[in-house]
Amino acid sequence: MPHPTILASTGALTHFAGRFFREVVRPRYEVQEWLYQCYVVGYQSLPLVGSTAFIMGLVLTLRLRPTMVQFGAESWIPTMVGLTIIREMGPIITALMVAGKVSSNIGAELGSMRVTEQIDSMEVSGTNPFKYLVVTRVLATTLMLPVLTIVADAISLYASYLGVNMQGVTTLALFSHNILGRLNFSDITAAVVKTFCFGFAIGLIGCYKGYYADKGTEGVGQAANSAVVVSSLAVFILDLLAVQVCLVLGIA
Amino acid sequence: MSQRTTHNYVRLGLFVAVGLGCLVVTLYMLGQQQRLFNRSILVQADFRNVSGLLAGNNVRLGGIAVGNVRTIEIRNDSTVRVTMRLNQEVRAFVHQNTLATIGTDGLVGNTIINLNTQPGPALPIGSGDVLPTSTPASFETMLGPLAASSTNLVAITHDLRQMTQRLNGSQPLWQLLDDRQLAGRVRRSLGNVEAATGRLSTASRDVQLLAQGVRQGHGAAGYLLTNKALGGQLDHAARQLAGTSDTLAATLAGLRHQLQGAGALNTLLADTAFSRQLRQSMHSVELGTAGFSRSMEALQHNFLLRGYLRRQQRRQQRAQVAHQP
Repeated sequence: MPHPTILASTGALTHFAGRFFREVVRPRYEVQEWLYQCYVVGYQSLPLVGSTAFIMGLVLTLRLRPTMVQFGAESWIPTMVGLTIIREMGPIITALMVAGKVSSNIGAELGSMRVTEQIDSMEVSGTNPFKYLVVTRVLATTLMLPVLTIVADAISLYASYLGVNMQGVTTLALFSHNILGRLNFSDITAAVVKTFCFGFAIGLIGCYKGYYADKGTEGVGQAANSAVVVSSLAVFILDLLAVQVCLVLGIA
Repeated sequence: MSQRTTHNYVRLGLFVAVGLGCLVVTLYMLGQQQRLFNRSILVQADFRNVSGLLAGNNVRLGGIAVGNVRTIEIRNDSTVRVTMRLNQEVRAFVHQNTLATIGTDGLVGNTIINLNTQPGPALPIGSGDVLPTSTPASFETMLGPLAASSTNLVAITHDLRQMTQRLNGSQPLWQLLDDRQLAGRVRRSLGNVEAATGRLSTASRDVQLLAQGVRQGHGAAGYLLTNKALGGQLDHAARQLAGTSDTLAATLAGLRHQLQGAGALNTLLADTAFSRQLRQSMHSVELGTAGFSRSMEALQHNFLLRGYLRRQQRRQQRAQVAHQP
């Protein structure tokens, strides 16, 4: 197989996505496997995502503080940090961490299955490997990433609250009021919709890279590696698209 | 394996529940903040300029957020209609005469609508009512008078500078100000003025008394001014004076007539030859008298007449003694 160009691989990925949508609505749902994948993607990523979010919220607050004090806008720290985390940082950080942890995992797992011809044997035995392996995983990342993001946002905001209280006194009521006062439903809606897209892209790219892995064990490593790289890049590209779409729709 | 899977499902369920719970709580709080779940009424207000008001901006009554802006639409070229959603609870406090104004939240904050309750009775607001509005003092209208004031200020400061320059250049003024004795002098002058006015006051009182006396007829002036018979007497005296002067004029005319005639008086007064003759006669008399006196001296020493002269002398002495007491 010749080295695929970017356009060719994009086309193949789109075809893969089309197959996913076709398979996801057809009966014989692999609920057990899907729930397990949800557990792996969602719950098992929580420590990593949670600690990252905590550090992010704290660092953002502490970094922002000197500048805001200089401008005499100390009381705006909760609002700024809150909006930053909920609109942008929470989804992006979570998606990147999940891409790093889950996408590589999926890529390596499916790649080794492909290389060791387990997928081929599944096809032979009458089990639909795409439905069992790909659909469950993509669905799991798509549905779990928003939940992870919300939890990460909550942790991050709590860390921000701690950061604000490290050098001043702000009640939780005032802190949450400051954030909610400037927050719109559209902010939350856009952020949640965005994370669904991120999750879908991470799962799809991980599965695609693993599903079509070749060249033996070397291919497995490549699949895992490129799954992380491409899904991270896809997250940023989707984020850019989301911002543009929000601007066009007048949400932001 | 089965137990472990169940355990995992519980954890997964818990995780999802926490995540969705956070989302639901946030959305609920946001909704409560934006009062989506409260019962509300819609009221309207027509503005000429809404200064960048957006749908969703706060509406405040007495500084408290009581609702938000629902829609903004242009009615015609000079009217923008704003529809506000107010909480049902504040309906009792917002009356139909409540004034709606456009304001800002802080110096650079969002545009908001302020509701200002007005004194005077009015019905409570109902859904669909249109509130009266007042045009806010925009920055441009505030700048207009400020520009005029600054122009005036320039003129005033210019005049002031000229005045101070002239004051600075005026030497007499500074001498006056530097004179330390000036105050004492001024004080003394004022004392003098005070004394003078005191005297003036006394004098005027005297004058008043005098005038009063004159009016009552005291003194010569009073007599002059108040005696009614004086006029008649003066008239009589003047008439007598006129008669006397007439007599005098007639006498003088007679005298002149005498002088112009050939009488003795005219010769005595006007004839110069006569006066010379008279003077010579007088000189001759003088010489004759001196000769006579010498003759008498010689007679006294003559013995013929000595006895007679002695007897006459004795008679005179006796007469003198008889006269003395």
